Amino acid sequence: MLLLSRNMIKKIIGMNILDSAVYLFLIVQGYVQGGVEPIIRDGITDASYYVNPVPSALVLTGIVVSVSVTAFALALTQRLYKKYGTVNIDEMTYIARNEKNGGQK
Amino acid sequence: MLPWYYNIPLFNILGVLAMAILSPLIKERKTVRYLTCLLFAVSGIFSLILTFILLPENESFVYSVGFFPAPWGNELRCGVFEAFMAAVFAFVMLLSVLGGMKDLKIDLEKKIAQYYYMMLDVLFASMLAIIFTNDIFTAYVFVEINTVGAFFIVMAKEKDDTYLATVHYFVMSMLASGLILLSIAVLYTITGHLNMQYLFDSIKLLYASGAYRLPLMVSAGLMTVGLFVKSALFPFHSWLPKASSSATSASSAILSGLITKGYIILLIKMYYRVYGIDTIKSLGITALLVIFGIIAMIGGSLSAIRQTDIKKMIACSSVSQIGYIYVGIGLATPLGLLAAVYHIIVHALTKADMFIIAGNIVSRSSTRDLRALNDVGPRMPVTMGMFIVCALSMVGIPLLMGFNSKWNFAAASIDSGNIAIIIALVVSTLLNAFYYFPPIIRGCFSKQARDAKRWADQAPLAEIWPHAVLTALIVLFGLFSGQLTSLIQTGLMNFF
Repeated sequence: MLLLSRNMIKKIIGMNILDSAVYLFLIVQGYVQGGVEPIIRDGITDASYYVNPVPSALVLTGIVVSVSVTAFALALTQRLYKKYGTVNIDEMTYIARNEKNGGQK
Repeated sequence: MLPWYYNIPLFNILGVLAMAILSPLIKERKTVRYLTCLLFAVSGIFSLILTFILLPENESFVYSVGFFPAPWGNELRCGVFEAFMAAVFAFVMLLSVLGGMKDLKIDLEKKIAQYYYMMLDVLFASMLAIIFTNDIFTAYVFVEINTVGAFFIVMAKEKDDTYLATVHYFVMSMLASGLILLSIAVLYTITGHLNMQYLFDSIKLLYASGAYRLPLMVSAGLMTVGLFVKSALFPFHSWLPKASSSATSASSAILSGLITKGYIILLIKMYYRVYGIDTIKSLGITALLVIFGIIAMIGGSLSAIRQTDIKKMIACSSVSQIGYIYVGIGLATPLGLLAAVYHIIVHALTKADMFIIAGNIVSRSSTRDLRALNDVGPRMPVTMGMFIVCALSMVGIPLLMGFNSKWNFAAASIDSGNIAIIIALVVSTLLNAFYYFPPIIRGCFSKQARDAKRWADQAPLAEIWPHAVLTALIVLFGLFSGQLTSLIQTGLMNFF
């Protein structure tokens, strides 16, 4: 969807799905069977009772990154829409090319 | 107690980031501009000092950031190579901004100008972090920051089709980011580490035991392809000519000269410090790199010949030069890596210089069409002279930096006994000459050139001194390439 869809919004959704898939993959890797969230409880310090906190921390960072990139992409789409009146990339390219040729003649 | 200079990398990164936060708060645009340039200069000088402190004993150190020790905490790692690259990046950044200043003033809306400098700071900080970091997840985060910064500097000029170029860049870049992140996730799954040193050790063990061969291969492959796209290697290069032809000239210089190079340095670090070059070699990735590199060397040049837009031509030439760098890495020998790193520096200096010179020529002739620039030689002799020096350096004429670089590549490929690379090198050099020389010859000796008014549009010294400094550096490094080569060689010893 990121590559093939010509609609900007769909592209952004595709990118988000891609990112979410990778995050879920990471989270699953950190899961320990029967583990609880890694906050020390009842004085138990044995690591095997808790899930691995590192992937969760990574995913948290990753989410921040993907949120900001999405925000950027949406702002860009808005600008494009204001300029060309469409969110379809093919149409935008067509309009831009026409403008250029019109300008040269 | 740490020696004081151990703090330089971290303070470099933090200082630049702090400036990025401060710059939108400062009201005066002029102050922001001066402060940013000053910051690049100071950062470059400190990196250079660090290089020469570390050089005599070829020292390299690991600096832990935060309160946790290595396997959990974050680390920076710095040696001669990293410090010198940081210095080169800082100075090229500084000179590109200064050289493109006039275009920046014309191209940027007043409201945006401040944010432009903010984004330059962010970009520079992220490149420094990519160079220095010893943790692959930190590298990923800064790769993303770098990408967003790059989008901004491309679209900052709100004329032409910069938005469309940004969309194109965005799609390719985000796909690449996804691949890099997946690669890191796979790597973490099979090793349980994110720190480069620990990854290196456990990958070595894993590879020797033969376990998890497939995930390792997938991870290395994804990382390679992701960085291919980000650094505009030939089949994935289409965003670079688009983005750098329509962006303002300082952005084009930084995009083509530095941003792609940051990713290549990350690739080198991933190969030598994480996967281990022997692993990469036996997975067959280096052979792939050589093949793609050769295709890029020829393909980039061929597409440059077809261009009629001066900035697009320079950008396509970048694509071909990036092919050279990949061939050097793909040889996987010390000589090959030396040639690649040397070429990174050559290309960063020369391409940045060419883009700001082209920017100057374009803004004074108000056309980007090469066919309409036939009278440029006599009109602005000094500017054109510097352009010719750069072009000669790119083609590889002796006494200039580019020649030494080609010499290194030839030596490296003879050393590894690979004839195909030498043939590709010769063909690509000829093609380089094919697309650089006709515009220059037409620019100086055509009929329009003879009729044109002498010195009519020559920019004053105040405007072109950054171009002159870069050109002088190209000549100087060309004359004293022995010292530069031995410096890089010393720095790269840490990688083997």
